[in-house]
Amino acid sequence: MPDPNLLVLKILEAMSPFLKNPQILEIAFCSENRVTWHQKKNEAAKPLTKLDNIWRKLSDTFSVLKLHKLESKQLVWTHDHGQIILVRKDGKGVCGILSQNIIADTELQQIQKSCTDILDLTK
Amino acid sequence: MSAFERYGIRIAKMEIVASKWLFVDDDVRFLSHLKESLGLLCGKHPNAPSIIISENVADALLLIQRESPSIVITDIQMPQVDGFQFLRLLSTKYPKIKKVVLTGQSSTQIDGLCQKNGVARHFTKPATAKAMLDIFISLLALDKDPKQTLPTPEIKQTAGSVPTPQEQEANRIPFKKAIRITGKLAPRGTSFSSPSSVLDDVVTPKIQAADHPKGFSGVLDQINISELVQMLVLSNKSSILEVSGDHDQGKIYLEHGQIIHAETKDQVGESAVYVLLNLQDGQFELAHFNPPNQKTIFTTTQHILIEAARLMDEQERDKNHFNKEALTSKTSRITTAKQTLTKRQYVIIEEAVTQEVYVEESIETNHPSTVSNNAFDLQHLDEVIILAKDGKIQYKHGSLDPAQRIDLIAFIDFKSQQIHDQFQLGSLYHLQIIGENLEALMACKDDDTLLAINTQRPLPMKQLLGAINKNLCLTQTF
Repeated sequence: MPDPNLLVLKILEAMSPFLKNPQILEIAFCSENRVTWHQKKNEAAKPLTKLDNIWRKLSDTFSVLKLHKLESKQLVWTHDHGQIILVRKDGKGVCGILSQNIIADTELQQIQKSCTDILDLTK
Repeated sequence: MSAFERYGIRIAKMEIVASKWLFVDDDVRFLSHLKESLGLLCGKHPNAPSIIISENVADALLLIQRESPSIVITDIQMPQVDGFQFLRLLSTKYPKIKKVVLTGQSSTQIDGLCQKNGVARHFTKPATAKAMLDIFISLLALDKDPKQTLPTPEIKQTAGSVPTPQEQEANRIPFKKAIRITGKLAPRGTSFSSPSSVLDDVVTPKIQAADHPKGFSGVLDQINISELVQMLVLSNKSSILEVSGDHDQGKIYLEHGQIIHAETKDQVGESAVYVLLNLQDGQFELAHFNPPNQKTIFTTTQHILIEAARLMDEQERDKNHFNKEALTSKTSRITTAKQTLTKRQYVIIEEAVTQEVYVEESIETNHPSTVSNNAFDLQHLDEVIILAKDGKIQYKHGSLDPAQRIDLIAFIDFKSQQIHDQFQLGSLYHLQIIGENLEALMACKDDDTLLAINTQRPLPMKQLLGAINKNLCLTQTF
């Protein structure tokens, strides 16, 4: 079985250009077998070893939605002071992006598409 | 020819009894790999065991009811309900099922706990085809042998006794705020039928069940009061939870799984719940339900539990010890405000109290009469539900089960609280859910929460959000 960390790191590396966007503070990826890494702006990528890390908790939302017959591939949490974008693909995992401001619709769609492409193309 | 195929020749010559094996593991990839490998090992043998898999304990229990497997093979480290809790439940509910542990770890502590929980076999997760074959052969032998059903483990503790430090250490599961509670639980004549009652079964110590006429007694040293209340809520019970701790004592009244009243020495209502949920150590007793003289809590129980968790987190963040005075003062200010103000005004006051800021200016509310020609008619959507802060349904239409949707809203609310706790993003404004064939939106406005779903066609997010912002949806509340 391939090292699950390898896929996570590949995807995180592909996502790293998002951090050039001044609004985006953090990126993360939680694989299907729940290996989770994240990277903050101007910092190196790090594994999140705690079982109850926030990105893993947020990835779990997809399975709960599925139980409620709302099987989904993208979630956008818009809070008062920022947004969290989650993009999921079967067999790969969940990409997560934390933004400090509310991202404009067109840019949001572009980010979602880029995440989908990254998940589709990464082997 | 693969390793499995080579071994498969040997397996085909063995006598296999048709039966069902249930594997429980939160690692989905491992489960599918396992199923595939065992399928190869069994080949097309007519009596090959059926392999059933489950990613969590709740689903596993439903599968046990439906499929009656002869062996349950479980992992230990799983979220929510771990393997040992599951094994204890199996010992009580299904003593005839053979229990096997398949885990990535191996230690003398795990061996001891396996023995204590009536585990027939304990394997380390296989890394090679040969290891997988050995496990398979072992399971076949176990399945064939009627003597291999181990008795339910003896629980050495007697009613009211305290386990030795060694026993406590062996049983300890790390919890953020673990406390030890001793107490009695009332007789539970109901049979297990849904995942919601799983936790209720898990935490109930099975001690002296046969000859104790008043129910079960025991020690719960791995959960706190808040978790105990959640279990009672999940099981939809009506009961009175009497709690006494170092600093206070009181009662929480639950009617059909909803908290309707609470009282301590000097607090009544929600503030009393917060005080009791914050107790760090003490005892509880679950008494039969008698309606209280007055009903003081009208907020949903989910909201109360989330609020209590938030208050506790705040305290932890401040690195202060539990300050009862501050908590009760804050909650009583909120309660007073709630009694005298309208719902919308209450929320603003509540936020002001939280931020230690007083809002004295008058508050204008948007009245439904302000609906303009640009209003959005929710009836154009497939499913809509609007909930008030107190959990009452303000509006709904579409083919949905309101109870399920209310659960979902509470779950999303809880997740948004976790997001805020981690990233300090403030409260949830809205959540967009996008799937292959559906779009959904949960939006919060003032006290109300809207959940709208369209299947097979996109949700007009922009118009809907715009209308919600301007209170222009054609309902009584938005």
